[in-house]
Amino acid sequence: MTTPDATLDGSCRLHIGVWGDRSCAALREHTHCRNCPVYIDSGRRLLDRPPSAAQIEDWQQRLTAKDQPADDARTAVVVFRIGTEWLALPTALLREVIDPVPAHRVPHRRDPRFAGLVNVRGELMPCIELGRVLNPAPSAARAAQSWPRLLIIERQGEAWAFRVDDVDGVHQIPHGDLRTPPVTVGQGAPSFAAQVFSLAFTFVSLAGGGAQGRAVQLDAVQPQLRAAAGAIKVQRVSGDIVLLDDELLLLALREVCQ
Amino acid sequence: MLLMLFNIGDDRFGIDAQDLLEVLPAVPLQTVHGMPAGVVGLLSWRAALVPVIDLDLLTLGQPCPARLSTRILVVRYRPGPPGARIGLRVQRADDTATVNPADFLETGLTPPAPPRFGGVLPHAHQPVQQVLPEQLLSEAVRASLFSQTMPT
Repeated sequence: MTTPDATLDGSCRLHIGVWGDRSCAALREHTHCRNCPVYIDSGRRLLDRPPSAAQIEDWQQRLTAKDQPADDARTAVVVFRIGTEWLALPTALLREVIDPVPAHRVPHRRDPRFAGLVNVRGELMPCIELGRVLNPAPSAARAAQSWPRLLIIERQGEAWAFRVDDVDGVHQIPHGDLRTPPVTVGQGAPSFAAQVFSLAFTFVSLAGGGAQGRAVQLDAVQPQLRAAAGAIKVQRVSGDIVLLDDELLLLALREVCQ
Repeated sequence: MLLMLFNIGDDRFGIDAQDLLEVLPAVPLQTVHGMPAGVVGLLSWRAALVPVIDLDLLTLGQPCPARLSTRILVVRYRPGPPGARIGLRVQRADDTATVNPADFLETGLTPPAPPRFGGVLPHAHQPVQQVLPEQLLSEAVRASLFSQTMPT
């Protein structure tokens, strides 16, 4: 049985509870200590401590900050790079981002926009050279560092994979920042550019892997990795990013796959 | 009906979660001098000022202890002007309970002056008495809190 001392601070869980020898009679009723009122009460008692000065200051700062206006409508986009051009797609279309898997060429399919079929966890889907869809004559310019990945998009059960050179991540773009594209943007395929927005973000590549350098978002970089500053290439990217028109893009994809 | 549970002294009380706008930690308040007993200050909340009443001080004459479980409940105050809110500083605001409003038993007692409380509900370990924001403050205190027109 429990001793009064042990039940008082809930430490009985360590002696006779599930973290101890499980000899507590109450376990038969509660199965696990976390269902036991003794354990719950001891957890509540943690809140009997006085708040620290740092906590109070933190609370005050949060409370005095004004709310973000709720009518500030935003679109979530995933930002990625093909060649030297940064592009964006609405996240509503995005299913996942994975490391590249080899594409199996399909006989008698010589369309350069169609790279083949990829197997994503047992599901076969067409892999599209998005760069060639957008621009039939892509420039040979390549960024020095890249971490190629496959972007999987999906609409109504149909899925496609794209090879992209880098993925930066998801950004929230206020609707006010979206502009109609000038005709010069997205040369070769201006029709795919639904909208254009300016974005400045910090893009970090880890140069450690040589040509297979890995790129990650800055906030994902572990402090110990930051310390190895030589291996990290921090890149300020700022400029116009083309938000692709999803309907037009899907039309083009269906045409490629026909 | 969802009740937010808390203590006044050693007794358990609950407030209808429908009236509850936010539960905040007990941050320091802007003191206002010359206010009636129980009114402990002004909370700057979402770019507005909300008068805060310490329920322990109001009912027992002893303010809530400085604990992590002492919290400020920002609630709608229907007797005030439209959009009026008050903050209730309470201790051990650490639980909720889903109850049937029909299970409340009327006390049959009416204290001569506010604060008055609602029905009592027999609950697991300890009975819970309902706090009705509209019955907490006397006419005079209400007038001193909301003398001018409130921004809605």
